[in-house]
Amino acid sequence: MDSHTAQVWIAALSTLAVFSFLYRENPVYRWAEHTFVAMAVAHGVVMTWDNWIKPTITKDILKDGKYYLLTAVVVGLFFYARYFKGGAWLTRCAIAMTVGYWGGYMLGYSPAVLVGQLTGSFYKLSLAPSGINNTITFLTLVCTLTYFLFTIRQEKNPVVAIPANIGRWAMMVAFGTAFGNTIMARMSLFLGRLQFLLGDWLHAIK
Amino acid sequence: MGTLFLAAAATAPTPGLFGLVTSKMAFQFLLVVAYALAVYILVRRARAGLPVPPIRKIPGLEALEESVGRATEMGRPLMFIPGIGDLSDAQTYAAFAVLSHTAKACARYDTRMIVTNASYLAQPVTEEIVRQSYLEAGRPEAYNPEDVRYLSGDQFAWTSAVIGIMHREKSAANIMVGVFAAEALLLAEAGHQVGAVQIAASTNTFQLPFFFVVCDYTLIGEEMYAAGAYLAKEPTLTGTVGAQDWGKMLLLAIVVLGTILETVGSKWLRNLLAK
Repeated sequence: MDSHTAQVWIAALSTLAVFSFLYRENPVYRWAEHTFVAMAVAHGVVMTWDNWIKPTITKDILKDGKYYLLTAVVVGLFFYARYFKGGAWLTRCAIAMTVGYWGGYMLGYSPAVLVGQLTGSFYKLSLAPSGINNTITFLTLVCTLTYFLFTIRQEKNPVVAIPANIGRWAMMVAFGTAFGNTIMARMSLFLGRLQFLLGDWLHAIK
Repeated sequence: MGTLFLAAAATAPTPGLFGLVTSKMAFQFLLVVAYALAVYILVRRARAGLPVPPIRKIPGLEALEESVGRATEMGRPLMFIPGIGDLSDAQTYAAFAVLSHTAKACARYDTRMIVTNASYLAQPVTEEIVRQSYLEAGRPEAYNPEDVRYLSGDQFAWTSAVIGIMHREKSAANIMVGVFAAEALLLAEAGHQVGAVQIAASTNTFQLPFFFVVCDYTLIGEEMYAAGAYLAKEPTLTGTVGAQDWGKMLLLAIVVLGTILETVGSKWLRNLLAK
């Protein structure tokens, strides 16, 4: 058995082990699950070491002299402090810094995304066949946005209730379309696996 | 989401004076200031004891206590699944707010709760939230750190582990709030197989349909972000949701005005927003 054949057999048996879950949770599936998790951890450790930790130490800090990066190293080590008695507060500092960083980052850059979406929502309305899509999109947008007004009591306010209701229906139509689309993509993935099992593994199809 | 922000950062104009003043960002700056002002006004009102607009009923959130109660009656655990996002995603923060409320309810009813993390950054945060919730509920001794688990950072390795735990522990309720992608249907279907009552929340329009089909309750997009204020029933937090509504109404007005102008052939508002 050459290495390629061995690889195909491992892949085929692993696929069947995962598919066995369709019958019920069982020891074979459990083996596949634990192997998958273990391999993901091992892969993650190697990738993190190779792509981040090693180049940061050897190139950025030692070779290029970017000693300020040591600050990030120290903050990163704070995450491990919770494993020592009385060190949990240091971990909370590191978490606070991470949360603060992303909060500031989102505040700084999300309006740029928002304004692009806003001006992209200015439609040239028309009842002509060529412009009907714009009109439908505009009405759907307004109605759907109205649905997400939380502090206006819809049952007492038909000006909000009617468009919100239309918005909910519009969303359901959109979700239905997305559902069909994604199911087709999943079927395609399943067929890909079947092709592998019947073709590459069993050579029953070409 | 993080990638989206990185892409936005790459295309953003170069910062000018002190890194603060940039051209073509005036409207965006005003938008942030106006929103901050709205939040400030409504929070001040709430603190002064003045009425703030209440949040309309959101059935999925009303059902949270019911799901904890069901798990208690059946003597089986509740699973909280915060998705595959990390701290760079707002949906993860929304999940934390729901987690806190759920953990308190579990502590009160003496129901076991299992949290399954895919993010190593979210792991210590969820540990702290659950620990604190048990403490606030007056049952710190019931907190079991082994039930707040980091499984894997790999999307499908994590999924297979969550599904396995779901079946082995026979969870009575699954709360799925956070970032969900292609694993959404796999998780929801596994939960359905074990007969769990399921509440899901996501902003991913491609995965929401699966949650609609399989779960008992689904929070759509923005409803998830209102969850923290809705569950806490804290007037100051409700005030921030009111401020968000003001913001949405402002944006709605701008879209309507922009569309009217665009229809009559004017680019005035489009050009103004680009300044």
